[in-house]
This record gives sequence, C-alpha cells and structure tokens, in this order.
Amino acid sequence: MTLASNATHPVAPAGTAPPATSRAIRVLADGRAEPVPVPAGAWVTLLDALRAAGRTEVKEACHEGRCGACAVLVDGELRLSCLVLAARAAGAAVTTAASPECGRAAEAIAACGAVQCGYCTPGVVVCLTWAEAGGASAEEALAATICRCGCHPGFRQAATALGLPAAPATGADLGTGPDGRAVETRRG
Amino acid sequence: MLIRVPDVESAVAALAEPRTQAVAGATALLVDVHRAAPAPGATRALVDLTSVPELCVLDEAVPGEAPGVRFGAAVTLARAARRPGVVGAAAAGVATLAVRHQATIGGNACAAAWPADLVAALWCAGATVEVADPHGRRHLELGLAPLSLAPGEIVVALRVPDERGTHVAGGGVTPTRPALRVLTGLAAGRAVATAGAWRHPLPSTGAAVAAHAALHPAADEDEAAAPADGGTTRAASAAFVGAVLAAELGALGVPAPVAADLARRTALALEDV
Repeated sequence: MTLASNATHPVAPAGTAPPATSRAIRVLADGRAEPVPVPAGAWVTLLDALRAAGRTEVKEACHEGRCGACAVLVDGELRLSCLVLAARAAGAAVTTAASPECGRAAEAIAACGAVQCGYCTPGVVVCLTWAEAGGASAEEALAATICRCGCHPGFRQAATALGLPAAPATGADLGTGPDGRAVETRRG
Repeated sequence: MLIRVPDVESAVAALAEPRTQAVAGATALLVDVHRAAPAPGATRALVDLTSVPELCVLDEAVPGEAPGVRFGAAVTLARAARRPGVVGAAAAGVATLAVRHQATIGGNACAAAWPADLVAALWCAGATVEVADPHGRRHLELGLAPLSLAPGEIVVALRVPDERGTHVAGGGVTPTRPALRVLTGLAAGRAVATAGAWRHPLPSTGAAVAAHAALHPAADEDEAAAPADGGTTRAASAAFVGAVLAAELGALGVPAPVAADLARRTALALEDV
C-alpha cells in the first residue's frame, strides 16, 4: 500500500482527462479490484456509492465526518467516505475493512475483545490499518473514531499489539485539564 | 458531474454557467448538503478547484513580491499544519487528521456556517486574500469574519506576510475539547480570543504584543540572558503581555483561573517565538 502524501492533488492534463463519472471506483477485495459504479448526481458521496453497491461493511452513522464509522482508504490515504464526493473517487483504489490488508488490524481488535455492538468496528479497523502502514500514531488514528459502547481502551490495546506509537512524534499544546492545571505538552 | 479545470480563469468561466458550484475539500459542503437536503437538480455540476495547479501551491516567497507565505486556496489543512507559527498551529487544531488531509485553507476561510477556525489565525498574521471573478483578480484584507464571496467568485490564495505568533487553547471540561483559544500575531500586533464561531479582538494585548515584538525582533537566547541595551529581558516583556492578556480576558468575563492559565501559557509561548 502506498501512503504518499496528499500534499498535491493529482492533476490530469487539461483536455485529456475523461469525464470523471465514466470511470468506476475500484474496491480492493481478495486479490482483485471490484468495480463500483459512480452514481449520477452532483452530491453523491463515496459512502452512498459503496453502500448502494452492497459494500455494507462501510457503515453510515453521523454522515458529518465526526464518528469515523465510514472510514476507508482512498489510494492508501485515510478518508471519511461520507465527506468524499463519489465522482472524485472515480478510478481510485478503495480499501474497506473487508479488504485483505485490513485483516491484521481486525484480528488484533478481536483478540483484545474490543467489539460490542460492532457498528464502529469497520471504521476503527481501517484507521488502525492506515496508522500501521506508517500514517499516524494510535492517538491520531483513533481520534477520528467514536465508540458509544466504550471500546476505546480495547482499541488502544489493539494498537499497542500492532506496534503503533501511542502519541504523535510532535503535537499541539492540548490546554488545561479539568483540574485547571495545564496538560502536559506532547513533544514526543 | 464534476468538472476538472486547468486554471483559475477556466474555473471562473465554468462557475459563470448556471447551476454550477465550486467545490474544494467538500468537508463542510457535504455536511451542509446532508443537513439541508438540496432540491434535486439545483446543482448540475461541481467545479473541482483542487484540479487547478495554482490553487494547490504553497510558496515560501514569491519572487518580486513582498516576503511571506502564499497559501494556494486548495492547500490542505494537514499541509498548512506542518508550518510553524500561528496559522500552522490553528490548522493543526481543526477536526481530525482524516478531515485535515482533505479540508482546504481557502474553504475554511470561507465556511461562514462553520467555526472557520483559521480566520482568527489569519487575521492575527495580517493575511490578505486574493479573489478571482470574471473581471480579474483583486486583493482584500481579511477581517475577523469569514470571507463572504459573491456567486462566481473564488479564493485563489491567502498571503500571510509573517507567521510568527502564538496559539494557546484552554478552559475546557476535557483537555482535547478546549473552550477558548487565544491567538497572537507578532508582526501585525494583533490578538484575539475565540470560541467556535465567536471571535473577539483583544486590542490591548495586541498592542503589548507589538511592543514585545519591537523590543525583541527575533528569538535570541543570548539576548534573553542579558539585554544588550539594559532594557527588558525577553521573558519580562512576554510576562507583561501575559498580564495585559489576563486583565483583558477577565474584563470579557473569562473565569480568573482560565484567564490566568491562558495568559501564563501565552507568555511562555511568546518567549520561544
């Protein structure tokens, strides 16, 4: 999996790019890429397109980029599929929790017993897979997820089992704790 | 339908067509759409601003122009967050990593219905905005309110003349959800307190920051130990800024422990700028 920076968006030369909707989204499955058609309509999200094609391992919850249940990798980059235009994902390779490269993270979460209702689990699996491939620390990856059953301690155990660093190498000053004292500034 | 365009002029021309709308990161736009459920067919085509190379460029210094950083409007917040200074610190505090890799600096500065976290930082740093419309381009001063663009206009770039400044957050029930942020910009001599979409200038603190910046133009450890001209040390003038800030926050009704904490940490941060 490539984890190239998203610093520059790939740009097609003017006049040569086919209309975006003519290409399918490619979902990585067992050793092959399954095409998912891009539905018509300006506002169709990648989440809507994937679920309409039966990829129900991608969960819809808040649809506002807060909960992380719909997390997928688009060309190796972590994305919340509810905030991605389906047309923009045309031609991209999408990794979901059912893709083979997510197996290690899924097994780690299961081994730590960090599954209750299971609705957030696919998103967490994707976030940890992305972090394991070098994208981020456990703290950064799990910040994008919400679990109402309270599985986050188990997710952190799973992240440790996967060998992820707990905190980012450098970080912002988080501010003041509930007791009014300044929280330790993370400096790696 | 998503229209990819090669340059700013093509984007503006495409947006002059009926039922078109500009889109960059889409992180705010898709939520607005989800909440409001637009009428089918209201928007026929989206013009993809992230396909314009000029909008994706981050220039340290533009030859022949004033020093400073030029952020293309479609530069992502994750990329801006890697920079030092008040704009980078504010960008690092927006949403989560997955959103920051997609959301853009220009979109954040225009998202009027959202907290627009970067507006306060850009104002503190004295940023100007380059806007394009069918008649050409023009430069605007950025105020403390999110940019309000007419239909058919797009943000091309944000020019930040001097990124030096501080960003301190605190006062929340949990440390990852701070209630209040205080930002300062050294070169512009500005300070602001902000909470979500509420932004309040702190003129006295801004004046104290300007005085601090004039006394100590650059962080220099030797100077901090022994001022050459017998004047105030760097730490003393930073502490003065902190005292002014604590008083100004107190006058706004910020509880004294929170004001003192924000003031103390702003003063500490100023010593390193």
